[in-house]
Amino acid sequence: MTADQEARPPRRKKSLRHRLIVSLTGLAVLPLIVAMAALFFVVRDDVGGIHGSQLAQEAGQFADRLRGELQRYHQTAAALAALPEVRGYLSGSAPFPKELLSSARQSIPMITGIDLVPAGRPAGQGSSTPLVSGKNLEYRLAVTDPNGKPLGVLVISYALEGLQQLFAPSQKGKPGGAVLFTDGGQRLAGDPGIPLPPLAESETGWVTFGSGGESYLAGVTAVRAPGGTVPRDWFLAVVQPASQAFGHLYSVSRQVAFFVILFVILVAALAWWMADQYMRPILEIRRGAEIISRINLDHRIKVDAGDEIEELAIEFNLMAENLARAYGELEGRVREATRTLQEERNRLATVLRTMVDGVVVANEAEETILMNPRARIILGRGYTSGIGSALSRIFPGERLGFHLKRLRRGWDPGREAAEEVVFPLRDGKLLKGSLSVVPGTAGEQAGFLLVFRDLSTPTEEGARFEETLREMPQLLRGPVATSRSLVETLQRHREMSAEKQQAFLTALAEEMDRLSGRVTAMEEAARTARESRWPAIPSNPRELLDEAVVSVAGLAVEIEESGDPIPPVLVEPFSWVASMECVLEWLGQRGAGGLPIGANLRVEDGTVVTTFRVKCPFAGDPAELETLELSPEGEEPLPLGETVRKNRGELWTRSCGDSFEVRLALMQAGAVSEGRRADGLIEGEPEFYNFDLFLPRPVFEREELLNANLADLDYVVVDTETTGLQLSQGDKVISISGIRIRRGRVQNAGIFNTLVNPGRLIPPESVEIHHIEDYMVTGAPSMSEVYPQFVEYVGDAVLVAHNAAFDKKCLDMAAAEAGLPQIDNPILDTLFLSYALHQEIEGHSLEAIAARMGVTIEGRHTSLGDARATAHIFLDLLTLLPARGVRTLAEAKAFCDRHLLLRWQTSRF
Amino acid sequence: MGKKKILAVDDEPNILMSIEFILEMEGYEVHTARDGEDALEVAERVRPDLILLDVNMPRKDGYEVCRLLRERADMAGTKVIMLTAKGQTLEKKKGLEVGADEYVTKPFSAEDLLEKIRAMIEP
Repeated sequence: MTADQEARPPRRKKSLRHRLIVSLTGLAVLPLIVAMAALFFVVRDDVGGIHGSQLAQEAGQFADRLRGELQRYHQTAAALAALPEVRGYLSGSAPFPKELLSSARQSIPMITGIDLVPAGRPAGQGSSTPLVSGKNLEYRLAVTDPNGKPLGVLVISYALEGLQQLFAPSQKGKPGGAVLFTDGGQRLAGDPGIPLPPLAESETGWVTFGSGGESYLAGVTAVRAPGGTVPRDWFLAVVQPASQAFGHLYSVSRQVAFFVILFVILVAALAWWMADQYMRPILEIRRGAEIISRINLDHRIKVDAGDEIEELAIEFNLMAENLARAYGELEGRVREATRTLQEERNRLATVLRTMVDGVVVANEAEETILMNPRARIILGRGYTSGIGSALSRIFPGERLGFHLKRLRRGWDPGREAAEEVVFPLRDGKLLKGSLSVVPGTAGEQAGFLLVFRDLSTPTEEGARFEETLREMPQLLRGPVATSRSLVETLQRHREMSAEKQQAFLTALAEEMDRLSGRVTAMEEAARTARESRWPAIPSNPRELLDEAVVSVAGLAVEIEESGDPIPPVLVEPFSWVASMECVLEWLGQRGAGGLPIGANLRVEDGTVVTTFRVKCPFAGDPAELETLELSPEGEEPLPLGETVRKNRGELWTRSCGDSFEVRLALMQAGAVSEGRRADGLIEGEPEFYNFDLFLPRPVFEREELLNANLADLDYVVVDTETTGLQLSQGDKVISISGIRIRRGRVQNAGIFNTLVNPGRLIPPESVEIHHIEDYMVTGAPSMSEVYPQFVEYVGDAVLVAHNAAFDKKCLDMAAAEAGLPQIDNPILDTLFLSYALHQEIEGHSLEAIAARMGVTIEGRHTSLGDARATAHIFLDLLTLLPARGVRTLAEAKAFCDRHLLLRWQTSRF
Repeated sequence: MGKKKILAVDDEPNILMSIEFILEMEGYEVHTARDGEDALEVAERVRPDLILLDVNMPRKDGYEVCRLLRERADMAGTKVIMLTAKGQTLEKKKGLEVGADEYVTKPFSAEDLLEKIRAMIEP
């Protein structure tokens, strides 16, 4: 499972939902749009064609009218030219026919002037094309005599304005209308705002053209100018802006487009809904798969689509089942392996516990991760302190550094390396031992092992003997020196007086006495040292008594039960049992003679007294008891008195009336001083710490908390039970629990759990929920007492709670009551996290999530049970976060916020 | 020239008796003292040429006596031999530091002691 949890699925690049929506919408809408567009263009072409033809027709009509007009002018001019008065004037035979010309002019209103120019005068040439001068059109006609001899030119000027009137009815919107122009692009008549169309290929036709950003339709017809030589001298066009021509089409098209867009939106919405229908089972499978693969292998996907997707779900469930089975088998094997490991561990623990040497194991960062009880005693560490602290704080740092350096330098993977060390401690202890490397799984250096012994605390008797031995030369030297001197003097001066000799001999005898006295003292010390007490072992006195009673055959011994608890005693069990057997046998032989022997155990003044009583006057000698010999096989015989003393015990007898008692006292285990304990009494197990601690522990600054990896953080999961849910209306906390999570594991060792006295009655309806009744909380501390302890317990950890707002409110109210600052640690809410991770699923209550995740809640609605369940749920949710790109605390908070916002937004619809 | 004067200081009367006898036999004028205070008093009175000084004594030990003697200019010529049961070099060094001329470890042979005394002063 671990590998899966660490694997991060590739980020989704495409959304199936989007693709479905786009395809469905596209399928429905694209053909419609294409058809509409085609229709639009066809209709537009048709509309264009109709309009164009109309324009061309109109242009043709105008052209016909123009031709007719021009024909009239021509005929007028020809008639004038044929008049004899005109010919006469030109040939010089007649005067200027003024009246004739003016009447001709008046007959056609458009004629602005008629002139006659005789041949030979300037501009007297006849011309076939009319000349446009200013606003006039000048038409020249050559006048000849009947013989064809040119006589001069008749010049008639027409006003172009006049022509304009011919097209006047052609109003085609602004800037549209009829226009007359030459092929040179010269506008002869028509509104100057009307753009000129390109020239048509054919005589008559219609074109579309653009000018000044506008598009126009135009019907064009070529017109022959009066007297012109080519039929396409002039062009007449009727121009209409396309917008006017297509106006209706466009407005209709706009309406159609509006309806098409409406349709697209409708289809898109429908496609969204359909995509949702398709996606629902797929998402269900995905979510289920996520839960199966990451949290709960027993979770099953429920899809009742009845189609292939359901089949997929069924197949997936089958896969999960197979996986679960395989996993179960694996788990079995792991359990087996764990059991074996546990056994090994227990064995190791026993070895470590009973070792007479101190053992300290440290990781590569030189932090202590294991310390056996002996090490604790030697180092004077309490039961909990020491673990996790730096080696250099326990042992002399420089000396330690020296040895570690040598060890690291000399270490070679695969080879044993040890360093003999001597550590003098501040408290005067002298440790000697060996420091070696603990290899890691890959053969690397994973930590250090230090095995040591305290050289400075020999036994009391040994110390006394040693001291005696040390002082002995001093004590002997004086008498020896004196004796030697005396003897030498006697030898050198044999002639000395008898009186003097006597003095010398007396002195010598005195010195010899002193000498022998000192030797005797030394002997005594040696004997005491040899006769030192036996190492004591804490033992159950009752068990020892039973043992002795069982071993003594043929004696009736009645053990009286006192009912008091009997503490363990310090004794060497074998010799003690033998002593009691000896006493019982002695009583059997000398005393009772068939009467039952009573036995009892009592605690008296730090000792445990075993009393044997016979109900008859005693006949023997009580002093005999001391000298009875115990002679176990393979050992030197030892008197009973000495055996008892070697066990730090006492033996005495008591006669009272008709009964006789033998009493044996032993020291209670608890009454022994710490120093004595070092002699061999060790209690407690060595603590095994998570061996992940072989990795140096990262240390976080508070400001770095937000950017720290979620997996590395310390958490405290909190849950409170209250008298009710209306905190602002006087409901109070009645129990609070905290569970610590460290390195991704629930730390069962450090649990905060307490009932709280709410200072008010607990309503019966809330008792039904949590079963905490008034009498249970009467002796409990108040919340303002609990709060500071809880704050201390939390420390710098991140708080975790389900529906954290409630618990935070409880804590804040407690802070206010206690007059302390509010707890301001970052808080993660499993409710939010669950929302954010599985927003599609309904149900984020503790029960619902627990059921989904396969977490069993033991003790729902007890603060500890809920906190524990929340802790497990939190750890499970934590494994899902990296797949969503959430790795740090800051990201987790942002993730919750983002999804909550989304949920809030959706809830508005 | 009179006999050379020697002051023997020791808290043990028997050895004192022995030393006194041997030295007298050798022709020295011997004075004795049983402790440090006593020794200083006798030395002041008799002005010995040499002092045999035991280290371990009640009321001012040998080192103290030696140090006090050396402070006095009028006794600069007085030789001092320390007698002690302690054999360690450290003790010897300490003795020489406070101004002793020679050092004899108990138990000693009479001949050794006499030789050392003779090397310092003629009887």
